[in-house]
Amino acid sequence: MSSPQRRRANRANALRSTGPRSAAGKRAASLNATRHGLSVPTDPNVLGPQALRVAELIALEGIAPARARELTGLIIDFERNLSMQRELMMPTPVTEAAREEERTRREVPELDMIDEALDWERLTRGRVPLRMLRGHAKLALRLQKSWLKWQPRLATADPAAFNRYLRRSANQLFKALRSLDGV
Amino acid sequence: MARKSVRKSSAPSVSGPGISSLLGTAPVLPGESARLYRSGVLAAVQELGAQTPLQVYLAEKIFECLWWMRRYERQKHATVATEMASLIEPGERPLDLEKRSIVMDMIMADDINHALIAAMEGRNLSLDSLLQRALFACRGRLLALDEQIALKAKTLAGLQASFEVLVNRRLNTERMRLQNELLRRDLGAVDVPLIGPPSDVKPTKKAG
Repeated sequence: MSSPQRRRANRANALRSTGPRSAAGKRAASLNATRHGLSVPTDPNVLGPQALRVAELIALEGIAPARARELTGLIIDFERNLSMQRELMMPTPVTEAAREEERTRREVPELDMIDEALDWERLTRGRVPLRMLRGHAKLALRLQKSWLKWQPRLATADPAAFNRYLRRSANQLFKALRSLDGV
Repeated sequence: MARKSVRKSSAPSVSGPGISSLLGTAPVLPGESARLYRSGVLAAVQELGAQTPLQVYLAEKIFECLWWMRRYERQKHATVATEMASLIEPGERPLDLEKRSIVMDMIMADDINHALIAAMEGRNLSLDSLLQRALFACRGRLLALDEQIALKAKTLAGLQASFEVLVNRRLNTERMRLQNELLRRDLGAVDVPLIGPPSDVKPTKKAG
């Protein structure tokens, strides 16, 4: 529990903060509110090399390049939604504790490394020095805290929203494909 | 036999980097057979006669929709089996996970042995009443899965309509090309100087 003076000082310091300054920091901060990114459509004008190859394949249909790029963006959006649906269907551990551990292990692989290090110490020396144990526990706690802070925000998202995003991306793709009939 | 070989030769080639492979999608979940999925996709592509990369992609997605629907059906089955297994458990001493999964496997395989029947009788349940209670208990989850199936069915209809548009587009393009060719020929015929009958030959009168 921080003292009132400490809190006041923290608030005064926070007011002086101007946010991230480096390009990398700004980029990282720009993703702070991102949970899954499905609500943002793919920009057809900034496609990567693989997506451009997809656009070339679509253009083989006799479709204008700009239209092919637009269709590629819609296909990518559709695929992103499908892959999110697959992610939701992934088999999960049965109990909440096991689920929590699975998530932690996936997000913080360093915890496994700490366990292994402790086992190795125990195996080779017969006992684990208290200082080392304390250091490992501190590190594990810090990693867990950082994971809790940066855990995927999917858990806070509405599951029904994923269906809406899928329906929307599918409808946009079908509409674009059906409009080819008149071209 | 001959017809079969002709069909084979006209089958679309799906080798080479298609749209799906370029996008790097992995449609199979852990535990599902990738070989079965791939053979199903090939059959769907051949059955629909997809020729161009976009048509092949849509045919693949049509099969994926069917795969998803089957997946949801299996999940419904597993949901009911899980609920049945949890209903058999004695209330004061719940089964551990391993035992519960054994009971689930037995129910899913329809392998109801004496021990299971005894456990059901211990809870004053028969197989039918157990099933009914399980269906009642997990109706919300089953409804949610049915909604997912309905969504996939709608997506499937959209994919089929889009596929037809692409196939008809080729036909329409070909028809328009032929019509243009015909028009061009007709217009070309206007420029041909009229060749009248020779003056010394009298035109024959038609009867009537």
